[in-house]
Amino acid sequence: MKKRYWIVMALALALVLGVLGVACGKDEPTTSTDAGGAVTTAGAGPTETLKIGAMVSLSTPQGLEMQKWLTMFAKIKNEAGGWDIGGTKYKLDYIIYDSGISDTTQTRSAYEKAVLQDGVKHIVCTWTDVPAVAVTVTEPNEVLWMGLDFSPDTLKPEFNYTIRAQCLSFALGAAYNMQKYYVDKGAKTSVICDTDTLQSQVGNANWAKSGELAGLKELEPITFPNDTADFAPVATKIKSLDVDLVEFAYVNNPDQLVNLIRALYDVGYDKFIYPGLIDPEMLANIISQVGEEYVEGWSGMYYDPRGIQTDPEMLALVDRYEQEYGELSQEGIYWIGPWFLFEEAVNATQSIDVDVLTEYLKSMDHGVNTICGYTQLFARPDVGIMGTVDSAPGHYMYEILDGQMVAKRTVSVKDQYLVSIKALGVVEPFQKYWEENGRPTFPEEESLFDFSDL
Amino acid sequence: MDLSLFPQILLNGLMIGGIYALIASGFTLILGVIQVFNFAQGQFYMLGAFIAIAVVTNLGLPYPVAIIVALLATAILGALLYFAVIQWTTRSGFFNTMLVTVAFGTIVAQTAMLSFGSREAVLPPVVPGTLSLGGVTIPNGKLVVIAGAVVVMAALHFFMKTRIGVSMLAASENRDVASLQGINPKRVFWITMAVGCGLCGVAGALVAPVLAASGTMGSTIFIKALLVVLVGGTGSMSGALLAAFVVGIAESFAFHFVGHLGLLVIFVLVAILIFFRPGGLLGKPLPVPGE
Amino acid sequence: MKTGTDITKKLVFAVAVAVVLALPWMTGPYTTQLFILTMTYGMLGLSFAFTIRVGLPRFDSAAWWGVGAYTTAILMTKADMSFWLTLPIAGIVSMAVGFLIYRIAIPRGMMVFLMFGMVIALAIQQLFGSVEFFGGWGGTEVIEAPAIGGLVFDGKRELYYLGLGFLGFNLICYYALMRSRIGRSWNAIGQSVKLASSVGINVVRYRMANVLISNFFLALTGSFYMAFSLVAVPATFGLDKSLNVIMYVIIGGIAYSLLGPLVGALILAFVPEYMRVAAEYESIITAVVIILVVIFLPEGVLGWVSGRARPWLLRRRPWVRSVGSKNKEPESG
Repeated sequence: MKKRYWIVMALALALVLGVLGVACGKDEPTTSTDAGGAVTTAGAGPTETLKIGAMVSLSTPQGLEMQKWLTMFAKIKNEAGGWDIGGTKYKLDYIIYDSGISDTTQTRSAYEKAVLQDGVKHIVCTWTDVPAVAVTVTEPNEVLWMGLDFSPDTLKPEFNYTIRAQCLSFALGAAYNMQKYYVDKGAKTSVICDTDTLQSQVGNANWAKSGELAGLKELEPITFPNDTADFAPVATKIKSLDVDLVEFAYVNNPDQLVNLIRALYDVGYDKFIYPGLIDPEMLANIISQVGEEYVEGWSGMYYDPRGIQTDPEMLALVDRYEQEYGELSQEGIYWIGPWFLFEEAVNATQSIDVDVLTEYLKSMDHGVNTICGYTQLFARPDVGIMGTVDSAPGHYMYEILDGQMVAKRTVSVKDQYLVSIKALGVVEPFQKYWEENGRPTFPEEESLFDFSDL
Repeated sequence: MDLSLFPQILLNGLMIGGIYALIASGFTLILGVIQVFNFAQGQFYMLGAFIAIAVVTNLGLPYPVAIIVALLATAILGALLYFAVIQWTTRSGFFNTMLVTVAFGTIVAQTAMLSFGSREAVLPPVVPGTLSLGGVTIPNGKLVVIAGAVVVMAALHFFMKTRIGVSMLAASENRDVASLQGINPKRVFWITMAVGCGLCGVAGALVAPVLAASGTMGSTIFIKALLVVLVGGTGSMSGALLAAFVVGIAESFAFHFVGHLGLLVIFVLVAILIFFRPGGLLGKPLPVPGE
Repeated sequence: MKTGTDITKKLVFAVAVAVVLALPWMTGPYTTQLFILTMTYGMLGLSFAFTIRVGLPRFDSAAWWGVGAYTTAILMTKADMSFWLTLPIAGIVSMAVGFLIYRIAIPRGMMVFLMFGMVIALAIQQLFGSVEFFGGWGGTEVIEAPAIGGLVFDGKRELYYLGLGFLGFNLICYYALMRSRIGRSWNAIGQSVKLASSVGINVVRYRMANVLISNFFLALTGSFYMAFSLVAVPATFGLDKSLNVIMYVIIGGIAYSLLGPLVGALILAFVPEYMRVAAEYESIITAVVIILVVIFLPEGVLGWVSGRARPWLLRRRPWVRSVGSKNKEPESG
C-alpha cells in the first residue's frame, strides 16, 4: 500500500514538474527592442514593440488608477502610429503587474516576470512594491528603474540604473508652504497625526522639521494603527493637547481622513486642520458631516491640474482620461509622474538604450512638467551621489473658500529642494556641491524660500 | 494625566464597543452553531454600510428602511453563501470551510475595490449634534448606534428563544442529539448563516451615518471582531457583548497612553486573559472535534 | 508481483529525482524562482501538516517564518554574523519564544491554540512594523548572499539547490520523526486525545515537542527566505500568509503530510503567476479556483489523483484510505 502510494505520487510529481518545465520552456527574454534601435524605414505602422513595466498593487485604489493612466498613455502613443524614437516607430506595450502591498515575495515575482521573462528594460512607475527588492532584480539585469521609494533603501552610490523619480527626499517644500500658510493665519503649535505606515515612519520627523522652520512648535507626532475603526480616541487625544493646527501629513485613506475630521468636530476641536490630500468629492462628503463653516480657510495639497496648470498638453491628457474612464480621481494621478520624466528622456535622447537614458537622467539640469506640476531630478551629495537621481516632485495648493476648493498656486521645485536641504540639516555637502557644479536652475515658479534663507 | 479626560476616554471605548458587539455576535453565532470560522464576516459589514448608503442616497428612502434593506440583503447573501458553497464543504472539515470563507472574502473585497476604489461613501448624520455632560462630549449619532446595537442584541436574544433559535442552540450543544430530536440541521444551518451575516449587515448600516464607508472597512474591523470573540469566548452571545465593550475600552485607553503600539498591548492583554480564562470572559471551552 | 512493483517504484522514483534535479536547467531563471518559492511555501506547509498530526492547527506559521527571517537579517547586519551561523540561532530563538507562548496555549486545547495563533500572527507583524529596532514597515535588508568557500548562493540555480537542501532536510527530519516512537505517540494524539492520554501519553508535553519542532523548521524556512529575498518586510509575514499556508495543505491534500503541502504550494505558486495577465481580476479568479477545488476535491489534489489512479495502477488490492477527516491517521510517511 505504502509503495503504491509512493509510485503514484512520484509519477504525478514527475509529470507535473515535467509539464511545467516544458510549458515554461527557457523563459529567455523575448524582447524585440534591441538597444539603440536600428534605424528602419519609418513606415506607416509601428515596426517594433517597446515593453515598459509598471509595478503597482492592483488591490489598492492608487494602483488601479495608475493602471488606467499608464494604459491610456500607451494607447495615445499607439493611436498616433507608434512612438517615433530615433526614426523607428515603436508600439508601446505597458506591462503592469501586481506587486502586492509591501510584499517582498510578490514584488520579486512581479519584477522577475517582467525583467527575466518579458524582457522589460524600463520600469517606469511603481506603487507599494518593495524598492529594496526591486533593485536586486533591476540593477544586475541593467534595467532602468524609475520608481517610487519612501525609504532611503535605493539611495546608494553603487546603483547605476536606479532613478528615484518619486520619493520623499525633496518633498518638504510642500509641507513648508502649507505650514507657512497656517502660521500666517496665527497658528503657533501643531501636531502631526498619521497612520502607522512606512510613509509616516519616514516622513513624520522631517515634516516636523519643516514645521519648525516655518515657525511652528511641533509636538510629538500621533500615529494610529492602520486598522483603527473609530477615531474618537484619536480626536480626544488631539483635543487634550490644545494645539492650533493638526497636520494629517500622510493619511492616505480617504475614509480615515473623513472619519478623523468628523471625530475632531465631534469632540469640539475648533482650530486649524491641514487635511492633506482631498478632492472636491471628498470635500463635499466632509461638509455633509461637519458643515461648511468648519472647513472654511483650510489649505492643503491636491493634484487636479485644472485651473492651475497652463500646459495645454497636460490638460488634454486630463480631458482624454475623463473621456475614457469618467470622472478624474485624485489617487493615482500623482504617482504617474515618472512617466513624464521617462518620456522627456526618451524624446531628448531619441533612444531607448538604458545606458543612454540613465546618463541623460543622471545629468538632468531642468524640470519636467507633469500633470501635477514640475518635477526635477537632483543630486544627493549628502549620501555621496553626484548624479541627479532624486526627485523634487510638484504639488498644487488649494484653499477652501465658501465650501469650494479653490486652486491657490503651485509649490515650486525650488521650495521643495531648498526647504528639504535646510530642514534635514544637510546644507554643508550641498554648498560644496554647488561650489563645484554650480547652483541648479529651477522652473519659473513663485517660491517662498531662497538660497539666502539657508 | 488629566483626570478630566478619563470619562471621555471611557465613553469613547463604549461607543466603539457597540459596533464591535454586533459584528462579533454574528461571528460567534456562526462559529458556535455551525462551526464555521467565517473570515468573510467583515465583508458583510462593509456590504451593509454600502447598501444602506445606496438606499438612502440613490433611492431616497428613509434611513430606518435602509437598515432593514441592508439586513435583508446581507442575510440573503449569507444564506446563498451557505447553499452555494458552505453546505458542500462542512462535511470535509473545519479548515476547508474556513478557506472557502477566506476566498469568498477576497472576492467581495476585490470586487468592492474595483467598483468603489477608495471612494469613501458617507451618509449625512441622521441625528446631528452632540450631547455634553460635564466636560464629556458624546455625539448623538453614536448614541443612536449604541441604542441600535442594544435593540438588535435584544431582538437576537428573543429570537434565540423562538423555536428555531432553540434548535440553533441545541445544534451548537450537540449536533447528533439535535438531529435525533427532529431538528433539521440544514434548515438550522442556513438560518444561522443568514442571521450571523445579517447581524454584520445591520452593524454596517448602523455605522453608516457615523463612519465613512470604504472598501477596506471590512478587513480592518474583522481583526477587532476576532479579538472580541477571543475575549468573550467562542459561541457565547453575552460574552461577545461584554467583551466588545471591554475591548473597546481597552483600545481607547491603550491608544491614549501608548499610541499606535496600543494594539500590541491589547494583544498581550488578550493572551493573558486566555491564559487565565481559556473560555474567554463568559464562554466555556467548545467541544472540539477530535478532542 | 512484489518485485515488479519494486522495480517500477525505483524507476519512477529515479525519474522523479532526476526531473527535480534537472529542473533549473530545463527552465529559465524566472520559473526557477517560482520553484524556489514553491519550496519555501512547501516547507511552511510541511510544518502546518506536522502540527496538524497532533490535532493542532497553527495560524501563526507566517509569524514564525518572519521570526526566522528577521533573526537572520538582524544577526547578519547588526552582528555581522555568517548566514550559516544564524540558522541554528534563528531556530532556537523561534523555539524559545514559542515555548514561552505555547506554555499558555497548548494545555488549553485546539480552539485556544488556533485563536492564540491568530493573535500571535497579528502581534508579531505589528511588532516588526512599529518597533524601530526591526526596521519599521520598510523592513530590514541583508546585503550579502550566503556562501560556502567559493560557492556563493546568489544565482537562481544555486539558490534552487540550496532550497532543495533545506527541503530535503525538512523532509528527512519529518519523515524520521514520524517513523520514530515519538511519532507514533503523536499519531495517537492526533487520532484521539482521550485515547492517547488513557494509554499514558502526556498529551501536553508531546504536543509541545511537536509544535516547537515545527517552530524550528519555520524559522529555518525564514532564514532560507532571506537567502533569496534579501529583504524582510513585515507585510510579508501577516495573517493572510498564514492562511495561505493552510491553503497549500488543504489544496494538496491534508491527509498527505509530506507530499500534500508541496503539491499545494506548487499549484498556488504557479496559478497566480499564470493569472498575471488577468491583472486586477487575478485575485478573484484565484479565489474562485480555490473554492472550486475545495468543493470538488475535498481531499485535495493528491486525494483526487490517488482516487483516479486506483483503477489502472493499483487495482490489485483495495485502497484503504481515511476519508475526509483531518484528524484521522494520515496516509503517508
